[in-house]
Amino acid sequence: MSHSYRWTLLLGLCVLAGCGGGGGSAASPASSSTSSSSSSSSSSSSSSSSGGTGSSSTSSSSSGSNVVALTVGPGPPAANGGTFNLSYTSVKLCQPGTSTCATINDVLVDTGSYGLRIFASALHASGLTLAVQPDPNIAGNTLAECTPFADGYTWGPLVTADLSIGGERAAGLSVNILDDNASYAATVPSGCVSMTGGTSLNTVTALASNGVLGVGPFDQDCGTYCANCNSYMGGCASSTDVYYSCNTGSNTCTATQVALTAQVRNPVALFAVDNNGVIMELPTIPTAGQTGATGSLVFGIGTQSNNALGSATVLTADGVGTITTMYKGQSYSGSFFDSGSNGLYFPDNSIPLCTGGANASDFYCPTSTLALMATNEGLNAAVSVVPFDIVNLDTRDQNDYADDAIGGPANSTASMNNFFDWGLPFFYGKNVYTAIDGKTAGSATGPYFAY
Amino acid sequence: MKPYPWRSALALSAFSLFGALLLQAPAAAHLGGDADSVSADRDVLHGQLRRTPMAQYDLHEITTEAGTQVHEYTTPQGTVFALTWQGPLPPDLRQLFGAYYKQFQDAAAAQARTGMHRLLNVVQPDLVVQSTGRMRDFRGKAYVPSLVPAGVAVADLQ
Repeated sequence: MSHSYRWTLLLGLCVLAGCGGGGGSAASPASSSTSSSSSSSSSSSSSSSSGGTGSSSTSSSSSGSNVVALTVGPGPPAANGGTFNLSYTSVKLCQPGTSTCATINDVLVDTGSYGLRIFASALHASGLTLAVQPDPNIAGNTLAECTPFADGYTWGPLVTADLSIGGERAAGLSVNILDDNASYAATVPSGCVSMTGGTSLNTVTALASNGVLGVGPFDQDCGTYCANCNSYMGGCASSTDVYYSCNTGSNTCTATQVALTAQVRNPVALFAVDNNGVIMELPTIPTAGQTGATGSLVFGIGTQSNNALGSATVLTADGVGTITTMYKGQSYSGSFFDSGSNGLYFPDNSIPLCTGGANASDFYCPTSTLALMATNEGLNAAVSVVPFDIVNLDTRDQNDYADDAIGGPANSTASMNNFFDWGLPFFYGKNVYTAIDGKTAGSATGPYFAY
Repeated sequence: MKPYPWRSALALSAFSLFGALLLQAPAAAHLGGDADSVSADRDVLHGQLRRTPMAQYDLHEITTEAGTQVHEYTTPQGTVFALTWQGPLPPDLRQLFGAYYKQFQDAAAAQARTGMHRLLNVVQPDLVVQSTGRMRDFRGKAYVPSLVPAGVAVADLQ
């Protein structure tokens, strides 16, 4: 099984798709991924322009003003279809208090992060301009954020926008613009690099999206520490902070604190009514995968007739959004539900890793499809048994963007730091509830996940 | 915060030594560096440092201002052979990795995952790094296999 890894062209993304299935050329862009509108009237529920809605695509949809479409597909054209198992929606951004707006498509829906991040290039393509937030404490300075990831960082300024998504609205929302087009002059702080290994993920290709809608179980992306770091022994420090105040003259940035209300926030928390969480509803996908899927992102839990918690099992999460997963006799206390992960990532030394490419060992390649099982347990002692399959990644059709049974290793050395990452394959065939910290949602209080 | 098993081990150790150690100004600290230089990490991370001698290694714990716990493990000869971290934000990995940072950086760049980049595994003959992270919850472990003392199970290092 040979892999035609197109490293130089696709920055290695291709390897994630296995790339072994032939038909090497990347998906051609169907249309511009953004569109502008100067009207503030009804936001159409136009779904992403991404393809992958062929005959084998299935849908699972709700309707209502608190519902928008979720699309699993190749993502924005710039991502070259180099990934899979990511779900997208569209958001409408407006200059605060005005009807000057634009819609950004192919925004990744992510239960593993908090707040809205939009690539500057996508915003630019939409024709909308949004003013960078001034630092309220230092005249002439602007605010920016370095967001750390497991293997790199994103960087760019904060802006304020009025967000509309379906019939919901979050006014005066802090949004992180990811500066992928050098439109923000400030220099990336050295602390941002040293905190993360230094790989910039500031491209549409790297995140396979025009932006990220973080709808995980917390309000702010950082929280109390980032609102108070000045009061700590060393003050806000570049090596331990994510928010920066940037001098527009020298273009240098220093770590700063940002009030909770001005941090990058889960927009759901700002909605008028449906503000206690979300439901991701995706259809069942065959084990072998299919070209795409369409589902629904529903806002609110127990606030409307279409978002009742019902008989879903509520798993209360801890202060950082994790639950415990038991798998093959091991207990993994740092486990989480992450629609931004494109597979199920868990430790199992008995499953062969894929071979033949630089990134192949990030995925499992069992000789035959495995039928496995794990048990999730919340802080509330509720338990749920989850059966799942793992297929050989090399058998994946590269035109299938919805793959039910893709997995890979989590940290290969067992430890208390270990975890089971329930990525998007977990979400297929379920309604997965994510309730925000401190908010009553149905019969329970967040942070919790339920399904 | 998760319970840390080493805490109980700590309590049982007749050699437990609590309290911040104020060491002399050291040379640059790093994975593979000497034990005294751990306090340089404390300074850069603006953290509190505590050292606990164990049977097979010394455990140095630094808690950064952000609340991230960094554990550095030194051999009886005083060489940093492993480190772990867990907390709301990652620590200063350039500081902690020292001479290994470039190798880590190159490996991370070569392993570009897609989507939300929640995992990183670097497995090289002289450096292993396992990292996961979402805002509010970053965890990782790094070690130099050749420096791990005989009889120490890396899996047990929390």
